[in-house]
Amino acid sequence: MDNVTSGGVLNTGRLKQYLALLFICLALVSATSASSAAEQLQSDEYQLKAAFIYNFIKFTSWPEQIAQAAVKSANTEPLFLAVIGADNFGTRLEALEHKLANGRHIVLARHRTDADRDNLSSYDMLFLALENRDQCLSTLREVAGRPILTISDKAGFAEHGGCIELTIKEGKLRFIINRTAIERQGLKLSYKVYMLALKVLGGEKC
Amino acid sequence: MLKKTIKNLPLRYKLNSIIVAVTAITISLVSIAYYIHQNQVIKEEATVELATLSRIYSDSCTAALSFDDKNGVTTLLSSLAAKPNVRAASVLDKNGNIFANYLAPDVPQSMLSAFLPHQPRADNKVTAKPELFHLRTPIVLDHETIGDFVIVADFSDIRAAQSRFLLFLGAVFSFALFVSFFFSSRLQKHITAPIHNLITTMKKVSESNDLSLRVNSETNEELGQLCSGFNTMLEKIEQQDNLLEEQKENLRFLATHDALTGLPNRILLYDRLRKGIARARREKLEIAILFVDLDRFKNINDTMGHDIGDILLKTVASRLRSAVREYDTVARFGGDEFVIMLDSLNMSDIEHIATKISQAVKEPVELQGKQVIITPSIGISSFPQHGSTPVELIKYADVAMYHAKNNGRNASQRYLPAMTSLLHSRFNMENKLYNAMANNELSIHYQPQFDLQSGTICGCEALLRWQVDGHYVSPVEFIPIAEDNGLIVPIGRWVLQQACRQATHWQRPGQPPITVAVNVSARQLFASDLLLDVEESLRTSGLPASCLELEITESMLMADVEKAISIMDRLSAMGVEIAMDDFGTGYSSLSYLKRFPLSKLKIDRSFVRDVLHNADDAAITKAVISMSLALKIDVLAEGIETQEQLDFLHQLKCHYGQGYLVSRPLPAEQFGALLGVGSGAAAV
Repeated sequence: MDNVTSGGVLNTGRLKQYLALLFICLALVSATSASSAAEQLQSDEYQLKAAFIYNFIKFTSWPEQIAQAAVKSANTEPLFLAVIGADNFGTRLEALEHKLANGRHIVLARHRTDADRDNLSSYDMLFLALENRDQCLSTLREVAGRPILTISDKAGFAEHGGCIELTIKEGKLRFIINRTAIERQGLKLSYKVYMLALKVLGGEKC
Repeated sequence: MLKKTIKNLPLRYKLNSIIVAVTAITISLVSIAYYIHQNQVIKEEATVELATLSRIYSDSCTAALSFDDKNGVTTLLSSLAAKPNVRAASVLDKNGNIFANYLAPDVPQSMLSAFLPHQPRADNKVTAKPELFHLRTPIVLDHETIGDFVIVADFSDIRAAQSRFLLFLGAVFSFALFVSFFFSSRLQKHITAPIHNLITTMKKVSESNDLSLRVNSETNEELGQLCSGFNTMLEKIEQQDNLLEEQKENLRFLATHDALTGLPNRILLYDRLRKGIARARREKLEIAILFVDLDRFKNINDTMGHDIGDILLKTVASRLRSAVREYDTVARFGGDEFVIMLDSLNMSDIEHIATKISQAVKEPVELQGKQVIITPSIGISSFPQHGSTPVELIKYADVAMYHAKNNGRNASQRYLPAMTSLLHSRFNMENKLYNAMANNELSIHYQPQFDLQSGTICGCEALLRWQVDGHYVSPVEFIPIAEDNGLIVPIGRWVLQQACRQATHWQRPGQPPITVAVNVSARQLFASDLLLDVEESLRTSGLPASCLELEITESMLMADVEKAISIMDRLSAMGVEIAMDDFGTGYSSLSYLKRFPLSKLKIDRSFVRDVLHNADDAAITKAVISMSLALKIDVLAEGIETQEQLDFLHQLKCHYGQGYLVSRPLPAEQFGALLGVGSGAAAV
């Protein structure tokens, strides 16, 4: 009994120390985890967008591709992907470079400005990261009718004639498809993708 | 047990069973094969369907999975609700973690988990658990596996389908069995009906003994042939049966009827009598038995031959038959004896019928161009007055008949109890005669024969005596019986042997020989062994042949003269003397005398008896004696009873004599004694 009493007396100060330490630790952990989660969300958004882009490539058929699939020869021509404007992908898109999609190697090009877009028509896919809406529209007009899949995460992109618009709904990355635009570009997008779209413009959603 | 029961099953059941069993086996085999096949097909279909479903879903999932769209996958999977046998499905991501699930309403998560692995992939393998199948299909996008699709299906409905199918097969099986039973029971009739028909007919034939039955059969195959074969067999049996019946009838007739006259014989007579007596006793009626014997029939038989005798018998038979009523029985009882059984008559009627019968028999018969009249002696007995058995009644009728005969023949006599001397019954006598020899009832007496000139005994005649129960039976009574039934042959042989042996003892050296005369009957004479018997008797006794004399009557020679002569010639050749007995009473022609090798004639006692008073008899006696002297044949007079007769015959130079005057027949010892003293004492 004595021992206990004395022990209890002895340990009171240390316990307080421990509790304080535990509190600090918990606070630290929660703080770091919260900050990292936010960061992760931020970084994951573009990671996901990159993955989406990659997926879109996989579910899209280009005219040559259709023709070539018909003759069943290996498509060795690379798939050119261009990012126009100041994007927030960082290096995440580079991860796609040289990846295979439908047997084509992905080749990535970046056009920070609107300056050198003379040869846009040679690309297979454009990610428009232009802040200026007019610039964006003019670019779309430029590539209209060509087999180029246009993607952007700018709001209203699809409504203004873009093929696919990436958007975030309830914390989840979703997309809107402009069916008319895709058909106008002469492309074919798998019905499976249509099914997943948040919204399909210019046609009934399957 | 079962095997035996099956063996004894009627044919139609057997056939039915065979057909049904064969059908059952066939259907079973087909059903089993079909069931197995169908099972396989159902399973395969289900598996293929599941695989297809998996492929479709795994393909559909690619976009949603790659876009990390859980809702999309869930929506997609929820469409599996349209497939009720899919119990659960799951989409796994690249790392094998569950991406999205589908669970049928009543399925717990745990069930799905059982199929979800953190385990190596078993591609496209359907894992068969009792009822749950699961299939795992990789989700491939652009040659890259981005996840797995796992589907769990419940195949219990397959099992249900299988059992439904089994039920269906069972129904088909039962129906087929029923149909086959139905048809087989109709078809088997084509086979069993003729057989059944055959059996029925067979049973009918054996039960009713009606061999005229036939089996009907329309077909010409094996069964038809069997039926017609059976019919042919029946026909043959029927023919045989008819033949047999006919022969049996013939035999029965032969056994119960007399072959000569066609009348019932003794056997049938006794039968009828027995029945008649029974009926009469029941109905308190009377029966009369008439014993009819033809007088002197033997004479006709002996003189005119047996063929003529037979004709006479036939004539008498038909006359008797027509003299009585239809239902009276006329039977031939013996040689010339007939017995008539008359039913239910008054005694006065019997007298009337007896007279009628007598009249009918007495009608002259023409035989060999001669009118012959034969008279009957009739004895009558009646039931219940005289006796109650056939044997008794016949015996008494017989006794009565003998009385009639003894009283001068040609009469009818009713039996009277006073006639109880059964010995007079021929019937009784015949029975006793059979045992006479064995019982030593027969004996031989010897009547001396003497030389009329010298007065010395020169021989003797052996005379048969029959003593029954202390009484002597007259030879006149029993000899005819013995002749009729043939007993005379062994009796005659015995007499011959005895006589020869006796005579051997009586021969005295230095004195004239003593001859022994033995009577021979017609039957003996014509029996081929008479010669042998004579030879044998002479040889065993040592008697010289010349000391044996055989006496024969004229009448018996006439039946077959030529044969008689030949036999007599041979006897004569042996040295045996032959004497003609009862000479003068028969019908014989004198010309035969020359041809017969006779050594002696015996003048019948009827002539000798009246030789002194009747001129005719004296003349005949004289003539016979002078004739025999002329023919150099010895002559002997029978029945000499007085000294006057003896003197007369001596006068006529009759050489030998025999009669009570000198001696009656004596037993052998007495005759021997007579010889011992006789040489001196027998002087005339």
